[in-house]
Amino acid sequence: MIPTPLLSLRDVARHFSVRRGVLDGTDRVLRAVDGVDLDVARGETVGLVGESGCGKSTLARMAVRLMKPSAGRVLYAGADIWNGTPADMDGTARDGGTAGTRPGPVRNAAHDWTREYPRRVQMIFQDPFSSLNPRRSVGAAIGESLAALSIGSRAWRRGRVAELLERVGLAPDHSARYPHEFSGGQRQRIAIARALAPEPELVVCDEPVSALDVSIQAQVLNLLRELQETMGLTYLFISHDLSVVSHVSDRVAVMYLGRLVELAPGDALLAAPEHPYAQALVQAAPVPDPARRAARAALLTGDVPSPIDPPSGCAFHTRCPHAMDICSRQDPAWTATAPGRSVRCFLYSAA
Amino acid sequence: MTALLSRRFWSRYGLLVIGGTIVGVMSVAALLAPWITPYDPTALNVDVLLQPPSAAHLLGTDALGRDVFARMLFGARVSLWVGFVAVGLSVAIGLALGLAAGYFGGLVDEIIMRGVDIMLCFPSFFLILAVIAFLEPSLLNIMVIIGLTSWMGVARLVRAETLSLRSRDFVDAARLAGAGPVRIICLHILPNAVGPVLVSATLGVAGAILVESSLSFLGLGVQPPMPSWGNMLMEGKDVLEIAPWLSIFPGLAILVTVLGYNLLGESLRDLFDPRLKR
Repeated sequence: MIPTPLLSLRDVARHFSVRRGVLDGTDRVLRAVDGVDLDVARGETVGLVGESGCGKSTLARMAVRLMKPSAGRVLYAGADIWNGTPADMDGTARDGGTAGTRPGPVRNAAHDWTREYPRRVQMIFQDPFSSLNPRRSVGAAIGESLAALSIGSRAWRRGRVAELLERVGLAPDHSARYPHEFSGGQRQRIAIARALAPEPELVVCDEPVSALDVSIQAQVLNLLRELQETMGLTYLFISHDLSVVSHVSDRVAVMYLGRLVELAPGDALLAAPEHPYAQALVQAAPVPDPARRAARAALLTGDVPSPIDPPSGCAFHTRCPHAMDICSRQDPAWTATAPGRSVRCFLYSAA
Repeated sequence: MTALLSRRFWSRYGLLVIGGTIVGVMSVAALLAPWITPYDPTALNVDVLLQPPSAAHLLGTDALGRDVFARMLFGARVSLWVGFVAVGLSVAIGLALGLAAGYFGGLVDEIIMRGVDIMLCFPSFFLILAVIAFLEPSLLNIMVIIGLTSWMGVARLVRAETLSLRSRDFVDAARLAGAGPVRIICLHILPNAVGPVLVSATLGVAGAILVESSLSFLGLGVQPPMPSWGNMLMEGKDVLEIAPWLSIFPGLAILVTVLGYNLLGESLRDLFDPRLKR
């Protein structure tokens, strides 16, 4: 039997209604995330890549329970995080299916996910400048979850904050200082310490190094890896930078216009992308070798279509160099191309 | 070099210094009134009626022989006290409603902001006049009624601030940390919205002083014999031709004080505005 994934997105969608002009009163629907299935197993790192605006961050916000999906379910250790009761911690999850797919009155005694989820899932934000409250000391920021959830005594929390600061490579006496006294890299370390405070199992990293200098990026990535090894963390790692994602991830999901188009091991994706969009992404990554650069194929042209009126069929057909008739008429299903690899493209479904 | 430095200092902080000085001097004068003047502001003295300013009576005396300088000092107490209490009340109401409207949004926001719109529809001075006409015109009533009719600006301001702060990453981070609405509002939103509120409160004091003076001038504010700049103006207007100092000095005091608070408020606003940095 396959163990229950730690986090499991089941046909998750998030739609926003966009109001139009005063005269044309009809609201239109923006499909930021449109039917995503993704499992994250305990202990692994799953990467998520895609262009800006493809719905990565919306997906992240649903994974951390900041946003409720418009459709589909988010399961944590098998339990629906909006109307289910959590299974026990040891991974032998009880089936969350009792809650049903339709949103309805909460069955059995409502579980307090708002207090439970922070102890299981945390998040690291992209911009370490806006993710730290300028008027709260570093110690208060890191101890926020402990204080908000009333974990431990005041003195214990202070000790824990000092311990966390050391763990992320900062000095324990930094806790009395304020965020503006730190550099971007240090701030991101503070944000990491804050995320680790309630000892979460899963950390969603939303572009955790994109706002940092390249020299600092490696340090922060190494810190994240080291923390994963020592604390047994599971990561959902989101980035628009394919090389970073495939470097840190066991598996990478490629997202385009609110949908996943390819799922593959990190190195395999980088070496031999299958979906035409993934191929374009890999080709667009900067290559520090002029000889290889010349051999690059033509890059994608045009812009990402609006998620308000996504193209019919495969959303990528408007920019795809291999587009066929069927692509605009039908939505391709997942095709397994290798063990642990699947792609959503008609080029592969024929085989 | 020093000249250049000081010119830059004055062009940037000049108004702040002037406004701050006026407000500071007025506050000290009001606080220390009994120690600054030997005269009782309500003591009648038939020997010195309507005397022009002199060494004994710095700003002259009024029709009942009371020392105008002493009355001005004690009038400052009334004006500033009314200003602070009324603004304190309006800021408290405005903060609470603005934070609630901005943070919770939706129906709560709709109800509160339509309430603001309704309040803004009333010509507030006439509303105050009407209410004071029903109640007795006491100092407490004036402060409360000014406070209750001047919170709308603060509420709108705080709502806008809250809306922009609510979408910041650190608020999401606090939510992820398990913080509830009260904790987020008090620890994460309120401390970051203090600047603009302080500015608005400073400007509000000027407004409240003006309203109090107007009410007192109309006889619906602070009641004689308690001195206030407004009722001193009213008493002075009958003898404007023979004793102009009775009107000039209270009028100047109102002008200068309101100017001082406005300058202070405006320069604080510039100071807090990141677009005007450097």
